[in-house]
Parts: sequence; C-alpha cells; structure tokens
Amino acid sequence: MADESQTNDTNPASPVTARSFDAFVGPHLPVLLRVAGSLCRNPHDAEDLVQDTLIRAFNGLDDFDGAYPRAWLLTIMRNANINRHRRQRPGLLHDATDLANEADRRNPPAPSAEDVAAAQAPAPWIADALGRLSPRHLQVVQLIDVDGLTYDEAAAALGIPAGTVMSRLHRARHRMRAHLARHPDFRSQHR
Amino acid sequence: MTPHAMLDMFRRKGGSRCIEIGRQIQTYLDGGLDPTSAAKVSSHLHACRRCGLTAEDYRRLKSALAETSTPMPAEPLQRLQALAADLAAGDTAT
Repeated sequence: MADESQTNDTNPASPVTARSFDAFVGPHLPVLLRVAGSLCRNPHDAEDLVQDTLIRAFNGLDDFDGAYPRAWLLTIMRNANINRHRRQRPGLLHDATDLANEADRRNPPAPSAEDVAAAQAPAPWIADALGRLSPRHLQVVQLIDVDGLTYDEAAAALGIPAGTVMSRLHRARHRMRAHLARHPDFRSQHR
Repeated sequence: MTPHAMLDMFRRKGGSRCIEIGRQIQTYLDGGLDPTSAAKVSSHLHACRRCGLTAEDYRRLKSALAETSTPMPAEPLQRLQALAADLAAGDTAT
C-alpha cells in the first residue's frame, strides 16, 4: 500500500488504482474543502459536496488518465455541485428527511472554539475592498488569491475558460487597488 | 496640471512602454509569463518607479489576500480522509 501511494504521489501521470485512492486524494482534500466552501458558503454543504466529489471520483477512476489530478477533481466537484443545486431546489423536497436536512443546512451548528481560534479576521481595509467586489469577481479572487488555485484549476472549478478567469481576476484586483489607493493602511505599507 | 497634460507628459517619457508593461504586471506576478517576457517586465519594473510602485501595490494586495486564508478545521478533513480510506478498502457502497 505504501509503495502504491508513493508511486501515485510522485508520478502524476500514472494511473490511480482503487486501493491507492485515499493516498492519491489525501493531499488534495484541504483544497477541495476550501473550494467547496467558496462554492457553497456553508460548512456542512461544503463537506457534503466534497463527499459527493470523492465518491464520483472513485467511481470514475477508470476514465482518469492521471494527468492534472487537482483540475480533474475540481471538475468533478463542479458537476457534483450543479447536480446538488438541481436536487436542492425547494420544489423538489419530498419528505420530512429532506426538510430536516434543509433546516440543518440553513442553520449550521456554531463553529467550535478551535475553529474560531484558527480563523483570523482579515484586516479591515482588505475586508472592505473584498466587500465591494461583485460575486463573480469575489469568487475568482477567493479561488486564486486566497485558496491558491492556478488559473486552470479555477477554470475547472467554475466551468469557464481560463482566459475568463484571468480577465475577471485582473479586473477585480484593479478595482481593489483603485479603491485601496485612498486607504492610508494600504498606502503606509510601502510608501 | 490637467489629466490630459499629464498623459502627454507620460507618453513623452516612454509611456507606451509603461502601458504595455502595465497590461502584463498581474500575469507576471502570478508567474504566468514566459521567461523572455518575464525578464522584460522585471527589467522595466526595476527601471521605472511608476510601474515598480504599481507592481508593489499588487504584491501587497496578493499578500494581504493570501493572509486571509484560514486553516481548515481538522474534523471535516479527518472524516473525508476516512471516507477515502473506506472507498479504497471497498467498505463503502458506491
């Protein structure tokens, strides 16, 4: 098992076997959960989405050529998210379990003390600049500048061309910079 | 000085080069330029104070945004890793 995981971790072009699935996917879980958080805006939904993604990825291993694993997983996540949105439309709720699950999603439990301690509030000036972005611009800034995705990976997660990701990102940063030009806390960093 | 006069002065001082570099600064900072183009941008940023300060703005912005990233809570990651292990072991119906 250890040999299998080493092989798959060090050679991204090698096929992934079912038995080495956990070793293959493990390093990508933090990014998947982070991106799911950007797509869902709800920790419970985000975890559910990553679970769906893992199951779909496991079932689709035979079709995976081993190249660009993170982009492959993010594409699966995008498709899973689209299906979840279709399923979760209020008109499609059928029974008490669905209603209870929907209530849980709308009222997630409060974060633990550890979560609160781990979370660092952004500087007010950066939070203010982020708050002025449109949802589409905020999304690409979140995925690339906060979550650390490449243009191609963000494109896979959003289902749009990488060129569109880049133009949205550059426009978003340009607007943030224009807004922050008047902000003393931003200017004082290097002027 | 009017904005129009400033633009004229900017152009006389080689501003068209600055405009061209300005379009590439963000891609350069993201590591998206080929080595030759990156070297040209780097050279210009060292020589031109105006463009250098623009690049410094974007560096500062990117750095501040990266700092807003928070560590993932451990419990969800552990549950997801356990699911992946169950799938690998054939313990989960798919």
